[in-house]
Amino acid sequence: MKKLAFFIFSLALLQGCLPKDKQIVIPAHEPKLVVFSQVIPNSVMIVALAKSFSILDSGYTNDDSGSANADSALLTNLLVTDATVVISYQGKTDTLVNMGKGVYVSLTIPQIVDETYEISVLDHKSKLQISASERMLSLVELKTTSLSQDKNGKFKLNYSFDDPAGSNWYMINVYQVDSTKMDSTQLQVQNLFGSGENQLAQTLFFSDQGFSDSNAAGSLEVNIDTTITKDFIIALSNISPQYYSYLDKRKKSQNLFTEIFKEAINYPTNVKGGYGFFLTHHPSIKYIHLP
Amino acid sequence: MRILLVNFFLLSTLCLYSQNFTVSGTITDEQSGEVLPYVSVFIPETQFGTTSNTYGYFSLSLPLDTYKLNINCMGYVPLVLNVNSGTPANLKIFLKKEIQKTEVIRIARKKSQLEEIHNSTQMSTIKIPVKDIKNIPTIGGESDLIKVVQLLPGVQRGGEGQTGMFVRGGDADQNLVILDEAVVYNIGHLFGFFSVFNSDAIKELTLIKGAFPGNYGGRLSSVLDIKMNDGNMTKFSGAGGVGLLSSRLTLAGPIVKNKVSFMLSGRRTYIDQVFKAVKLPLPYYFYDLNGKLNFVLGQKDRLYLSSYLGNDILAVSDKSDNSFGFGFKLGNITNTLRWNHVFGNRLFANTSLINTLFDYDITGKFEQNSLFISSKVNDYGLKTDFNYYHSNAFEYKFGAQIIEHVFRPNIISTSGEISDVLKSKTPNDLHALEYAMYGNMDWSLMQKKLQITSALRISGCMVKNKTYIAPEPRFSMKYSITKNDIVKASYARMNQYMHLVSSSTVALPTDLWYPVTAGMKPQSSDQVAVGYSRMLPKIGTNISVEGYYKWMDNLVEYKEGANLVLNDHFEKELLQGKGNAYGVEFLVKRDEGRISGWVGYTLSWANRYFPELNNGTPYPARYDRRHNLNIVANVKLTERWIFSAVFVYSSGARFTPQIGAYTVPNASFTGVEIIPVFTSKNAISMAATNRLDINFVRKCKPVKGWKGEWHFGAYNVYNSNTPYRIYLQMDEAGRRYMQKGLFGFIPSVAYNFEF
Repeated sequence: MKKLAFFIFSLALLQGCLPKDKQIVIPAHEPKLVVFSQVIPNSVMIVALAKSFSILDSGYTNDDSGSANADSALLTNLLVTDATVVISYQGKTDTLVNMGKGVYVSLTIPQIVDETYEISVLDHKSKLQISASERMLSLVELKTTSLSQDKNGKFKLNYSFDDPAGSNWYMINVYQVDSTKMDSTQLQVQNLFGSGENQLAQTLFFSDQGFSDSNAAGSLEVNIDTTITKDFIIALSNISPQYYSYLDKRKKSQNLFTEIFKEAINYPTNVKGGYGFFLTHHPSIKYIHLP
Repeated sequence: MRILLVNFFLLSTLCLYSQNFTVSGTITDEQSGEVLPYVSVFIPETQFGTTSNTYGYFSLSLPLDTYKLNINCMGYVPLVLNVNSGTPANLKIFLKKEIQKTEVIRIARKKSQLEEIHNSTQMSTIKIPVKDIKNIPTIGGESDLIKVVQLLPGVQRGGEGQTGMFVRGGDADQNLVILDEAVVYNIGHLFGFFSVFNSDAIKELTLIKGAFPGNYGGRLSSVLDIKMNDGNMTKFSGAGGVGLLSSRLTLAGPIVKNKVSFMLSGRRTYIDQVFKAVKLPLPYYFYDLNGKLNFVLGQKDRLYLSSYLGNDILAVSDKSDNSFGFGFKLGNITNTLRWNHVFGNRLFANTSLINTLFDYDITGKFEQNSLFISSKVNDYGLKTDFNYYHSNAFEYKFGAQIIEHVFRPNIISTSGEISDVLKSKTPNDLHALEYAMYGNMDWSLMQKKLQITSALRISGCMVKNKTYIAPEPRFSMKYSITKNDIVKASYARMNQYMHLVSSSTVALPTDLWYPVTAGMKPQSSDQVAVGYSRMLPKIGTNISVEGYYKWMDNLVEYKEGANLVLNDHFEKELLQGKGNAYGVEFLVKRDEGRISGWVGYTLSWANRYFPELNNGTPYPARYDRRHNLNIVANVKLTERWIFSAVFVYSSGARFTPQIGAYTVPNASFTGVEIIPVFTSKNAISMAATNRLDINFVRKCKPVKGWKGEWHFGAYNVYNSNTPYRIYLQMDEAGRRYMQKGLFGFIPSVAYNFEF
């Protein structure tokens, strides 16, 4: 009883003496267009368009764990569904087809290594505009891939490929595949994005600084769940240093201190007047089936 | 440089040819035997005069004649001595403490410390006697040196209520805090809410923000030089206090009268005991111990041994089955062995052996898992300083120092399943050998109207695979327009060979100190300052204004998202960049009379530039607070009542809030990721803060040598919001950023005593 009384008294005293919280005036966020593109070799260039939003908008929450959530209504409102998307290369222009839900595609744009592609977007509704340009880097083919398990049961992805001259940065995406819905003998890279049945297990990235010669080989720890599937697709892309920096910051943003103290991280972009990335890298893929 | 040396030689030679005699000595408090620094020693109606140095020693060259030597010190009865060429060298001069009733009468003919600073070439310097600090109100009634320093112009505090200091646009790790010449690495208890300095054990503190004398170095922004009490050579005495948060007791006295004295001081919080009494567990406490031995070895030699030990201790455990436990211990130990020696009657030497240890241990236990993490910095140093009183016009200071820093970061010992995640390791010690030598020359021209101090410090550091060495020129001057109107100017270069590696914008006690490496260059700064000082002797008040501009290079920041906790490869997560800071500081200060205190106002800017941050554009520093106003007043209401008040106004600290977000598809186009959008770095200021603290002191009637006084105080009288945390408030009306105030109105009561 004495303990409770002391506790209540202390709490009441502290509460009574606590000053009122004050609001801090923050300038309103000006929405910008967000671009994210994907090239599927010899098939299609996909551009996804959306708008950024103020976190003071309804529909956005930031829960106690620090992770961000946005409800589907907000996300739907952010999609840019009425825009003109033009890609220029080698003096030609190609206007992408609006597929709805903020997705624009071109089936005719060829992939020309070392060519600089330029994108310009005009959203007819908001009148927002952006532009970006990106050099298409050469496709780097995976030579060998395998998954091995160490004595602690952790999986490692072993890979090798020919590292082109100069400084290069790479991204490896590991997909878990539902083999009942995908014919591994007829494996095509476009299936990765077409069926929607694959599941991205992990994104790994590294630079070629660790390789002593052009024969790049190494192994990386991967988190995969073999109880779900024994089939995996490994996709290697030769990416720009700016996108590498973006991936690096994304990874770092998950560290405990950044989460707890809400440390600010400003992500790089190659989009003028907007956010996101206009990407022209294209993956080479390998299929792995574990026994 | 060559011209400087030639001038110096010519002037020195001229002085040597004149017929002079030297009067020298050590000035001490008659009652306690403590040496008295910065005491004014002068011949009235002439230009001859000097002040005692930090160790109470002075030497004055005079033309052959007989003089009346005046010795004046605030709080002491002035003394007049007849001196001539027959006066013996190395006088032992004792000053009597002044009886308070005569204070007002004597003001007119005494030189105060304010006047001393006003008259010296030293600028950007503030000295505060600890007796003046004790009445200043603070949280919980605990007098706190660092909190008082934060009230001085040019000093910005960090988080509300905390001991972090940001001086003239610098960072928190750019302040050299020394206690009896030993560096104190961690100056805060309870995560920075209380300073580690027990005011009963401290004699005086000096803050230097620019125009650094040659004997100081190793940090860019400030020097906070704190001197411990020496002890009492003549009689046993004590002091102490009982407050709401802690109690303290200091004992001092002779071991051999007039030969050996001691001072022992302790302080401990009893928050844990208060909670324990009502059976609520709060297993946290901190304590400090200060000790000093003072040996008079003869007319020319004095030896001091001083030590400090302080720890913060937390120990949480589940006593029922001992299956869970968590704790930490964090603390400093400093030891200084100092020897003062006078060669002849013109050369004074101070040699010190110094050892400092800062360490923290974290322990954890959960069922079969256990964890122990430890880090420490250990310094072993030797320094020697000489003062040579060449003539009335020249004084030379020179010396050298060497410090071996041993860093042992991130020792980890784990057992159980946790060892799969966190491997045990004992990294190799990191060693850095920091060294410096300096020469400092003070000379007076135009009948002391123009005084110049020039210094050259050569500093350096040896680390693995790299040796750094750098010159640090310093220069300061004063010109007396009239006796009471003085203009001053200074330039100082500083280098810093250590930095604090912090894992976030929030300073934690577990942040680690690291030395420079072959890749991480020393931080450096160049600072120019100009100032005007006007003394109003009739009311014992000084008015000063100073402007400064500081360039900083190789500042240290961490990359966005870097994780530096337990990271042995932290170096690749760090960045180096530039910074600048400029501003104007106004100070009106009165040290004596019925009303004393100061009004300080700072208008300042502080910027940073790191190519890898903020899209390569400059940005304001986190503690770039534009306006800072502090008013400190001590009012003697009656013989027994004193009223003190502190008013603080400060622009808000800066932060980088998230203002927006966008979504991007993941690599398989099967989901989206939400990417946050922040403002540019430190673009937003929190709301300005203001606060009023008050304190009433009632002095009890002395009984048989026991002097007691009650302190009745209140922190944040009008319950103002003094921000320490920001959060995002969400309700039906929407979302907004809010700042949470730290403490509201907190009353306090304390009893202090002396015997």
